Amino acid sequence: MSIPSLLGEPVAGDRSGCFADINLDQVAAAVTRADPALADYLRHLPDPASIGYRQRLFQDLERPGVLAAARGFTRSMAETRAWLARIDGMTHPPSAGRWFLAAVTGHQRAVVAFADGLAPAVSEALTGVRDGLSELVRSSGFTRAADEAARVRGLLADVRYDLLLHADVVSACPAADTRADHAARVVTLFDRFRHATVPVRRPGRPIGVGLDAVEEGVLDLVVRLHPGVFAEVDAFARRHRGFVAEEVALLDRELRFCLGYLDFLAPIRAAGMPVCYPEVTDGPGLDARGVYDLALAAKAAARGEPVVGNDLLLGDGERVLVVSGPNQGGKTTFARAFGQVHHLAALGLPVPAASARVAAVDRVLTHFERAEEQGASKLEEELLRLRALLAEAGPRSAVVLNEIFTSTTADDAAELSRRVLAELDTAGAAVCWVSFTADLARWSPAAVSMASSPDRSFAVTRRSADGRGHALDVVRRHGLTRDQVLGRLAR
Amino acid sequence: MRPLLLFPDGDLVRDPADEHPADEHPADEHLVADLRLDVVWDAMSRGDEHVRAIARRVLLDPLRDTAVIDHRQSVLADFLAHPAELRALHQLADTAVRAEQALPHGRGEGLLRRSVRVLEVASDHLRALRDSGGRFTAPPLVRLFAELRERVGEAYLGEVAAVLRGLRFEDGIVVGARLGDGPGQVHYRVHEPGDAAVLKRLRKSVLRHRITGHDEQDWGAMAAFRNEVLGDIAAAVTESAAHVTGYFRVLRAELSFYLGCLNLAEELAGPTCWPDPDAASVTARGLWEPCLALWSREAVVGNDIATDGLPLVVVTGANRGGKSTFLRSLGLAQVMAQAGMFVCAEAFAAPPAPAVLTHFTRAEDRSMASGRLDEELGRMSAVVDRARPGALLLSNESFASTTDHEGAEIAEGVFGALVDSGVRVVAVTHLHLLAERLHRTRPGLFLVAGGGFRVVPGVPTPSAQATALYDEVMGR
Repeated sequence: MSIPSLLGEPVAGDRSGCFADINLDQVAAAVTRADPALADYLRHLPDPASIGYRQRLFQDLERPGVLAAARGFTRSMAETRAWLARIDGMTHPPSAGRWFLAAVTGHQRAVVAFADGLAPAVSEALTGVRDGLSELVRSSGFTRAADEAARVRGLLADVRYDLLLHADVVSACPAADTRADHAARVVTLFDRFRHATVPVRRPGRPIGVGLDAVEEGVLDLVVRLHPGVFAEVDAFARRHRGFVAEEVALLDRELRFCLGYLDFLAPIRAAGMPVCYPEVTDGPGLDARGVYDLALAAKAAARGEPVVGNDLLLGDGERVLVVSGPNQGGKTTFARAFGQVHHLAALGLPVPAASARVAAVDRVLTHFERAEEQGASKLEEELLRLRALLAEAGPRSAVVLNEIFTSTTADDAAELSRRVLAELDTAGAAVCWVSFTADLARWSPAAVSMASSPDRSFAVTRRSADGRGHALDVVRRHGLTRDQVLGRLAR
Repeated sequence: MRPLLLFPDGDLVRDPADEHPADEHPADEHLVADLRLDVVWDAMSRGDEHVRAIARRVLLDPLRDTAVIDHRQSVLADFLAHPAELRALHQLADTAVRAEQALPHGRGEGLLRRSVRVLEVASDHLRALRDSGGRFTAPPLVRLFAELRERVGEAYLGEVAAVLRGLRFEDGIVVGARLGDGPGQVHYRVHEPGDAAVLKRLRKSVLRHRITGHDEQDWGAMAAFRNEVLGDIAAAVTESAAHVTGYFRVLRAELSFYLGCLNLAEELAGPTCWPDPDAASVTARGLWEPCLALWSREAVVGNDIATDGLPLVVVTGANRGGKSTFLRSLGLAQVMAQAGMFVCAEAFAAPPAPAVLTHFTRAEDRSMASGRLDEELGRMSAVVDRARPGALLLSNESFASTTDHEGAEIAEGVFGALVDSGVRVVAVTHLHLLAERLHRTRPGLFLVAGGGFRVVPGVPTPSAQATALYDEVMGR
């Protein structure tokens, strides 16, 4: 048995063309900050059959025990990679040998810990990983390497010696009897002045710096004092080159993407925005409640604020949402959320919505106004891009159109829009179309009209007829009626 | 060892590295503004921000334990009798703390040298401190100097000097090493300097690494290695230096409070007294308001009051008749008494309150604009949050932001419930309706601010108030 792949091979092509338009480039950048190469997992849509497998994987990963195990594993793998890179650059064999031994030890522990930590896993993906890892850990190659590493570590731990540092010379000799610790004596001497625990941070050795000339020179003296031990260290390093199994490295890569996405969601959820696992259907139709733009929500969450969610509904026979209304009313954000929820659902990921039923799409196509071009050439540029989009659009596409044909007269724009709408009708794609042409929706039975509100925050406040009643309301709201005060003080 | 000048068995400064931790309850800002505590702190600090910060903390952290109040009163009385000695002690502690701050930081060997130097300087300051307590008689001060004589004797300071001398490592550093578990990790344990046998063995060893010394990097690497080897001992010495400096920091903080009290005493012209915290109710004779005095530099009118255990005091009377000044004088006396300070009165007795709360009208409250009442009620709600039996609430024209009728109704409900819950309420109000209703329904002490800024027992009649107003308007 081997370790199964969590995310599988990508099936559909690179969809990053739409990424910037619907803000998924920002999401990808945040999710894969540590390793941009992982963004491929967000770009390529998998086989629709694997959506459920992935959703169950993510749900499993969200359980605290499993999550901690996965985190510990990826953290340790990152450490191993960093150490191996450092060892590669080392020119002093005895110290490289010690680092290598530690890297192997850390990796062995991480693999064992992850196999154990996955005990509560329930998803097909993670139980498969657990079984594959357990088998690896039990294999004779793995146990032999672990035993060897432990033996060599024991030898190193017994190495002791004395040094004298004087001017330009360091002298070494075998360790004499252990003498009293002078540092402890100093601490005791001044302990009478100790007030509270005064933390003293000992400046650590900067990470990434290898041994310098003096440390190497001193370690060479130690090698001469204990030649047998270092011969063992050297032999161990030669025997265990390339100790990270390829499938373990792939597992780490896939997990880093999954955890990166969950970590990206965490502050958004903390700011009160819901995230859900959508029901992904084979046929058309859309019923997503409280949908929002994930990138916008991430920015708002950084300030601890939520964003406004919207409901996206396409009933029987409906395929086109036409969005119109005043500027700054959230139309484009609405359209982006439409594109995001389709793309992320097709990836088998949790989506930015309170609840969602979404059709499985194989591509999200977008058309947003480009700022650069003006006038006739701008219209031409738009039409060229639209032609390519329409050629690709099909019944399994989600299409987002944002304010097209703004460079022509209103009449021309209406006529061109009508034709595009007819083409999209034929293609059978799910469409969200932000348009100035308000009555666009009337030209297709599959179109639904939506409007942004002029003021989302408008609230109705209760106002009583006489001022007195109002004042007592305010008193009650502050908990300051006689009975309320008595109750508060009786606590 | 602890100075213990503010508490018999506790410290104001809980972490010497952080003498001025983030501030108290936000509602204290109202107390500060309402009682004009800034004026008091200005007089206490004379521009010394450190003294001001300490005075602020002590006054905003009122004592309830009368034994601690006695403790502070005894120390303060001794210091007020020996002002020059107090100033010298504070100067010494301040110098000791500043000496540490003046030295450059480093790591490894540099840090070690610095910390050794800190301890050498501190030893001199400890000796000077130990020998400067001869004239004090207050028990906490007697205890402090006895402790210093016992724990910082000449034998001890001699041992300290010897250890510090050894830490210069004139014969080289002898260190035992053990390979650690981590890669490249070595645990070093510096040996006590001066073991001749070990030195001899190491000097004879053929296993030597000598740097070429041809370029600067060699010496840099040697210095780095020494830093590594000396890391633990440097940390130990630095920690020790932090302890000793911390002692001076705590001492300076505690002395700063008393220095502030001394400064204030020198600014005030009127009579002061030691308050009696063991009383069951509030009694004052010749109570005066220090902020006004500090401001105007003139003698101010003193008031007498005796609540006889009544939980409610209501003060009414003409505008600018001294009502607010009286209320502040009472609040300041309570706060200063609970800090262990003297009080501005000929005599003052009051039980410590678990909280001193204020609810003063704001100038803008009078505008009756919408939202003002909301703001006032919000502040009152915060007061209720902090109120508990025995707490003292000073209310100055609360609920002036609505109609008289409504204001009276709200105030009667709130004050009544607070008093019934064991809170002591002193309310200044121009709401005749409120005063009259409280007088009719509740036991309390009713006072009127009359002529000459004096507050005397009595309930104003509407006509009296109206005629007073008439007189005021007509300039009679």
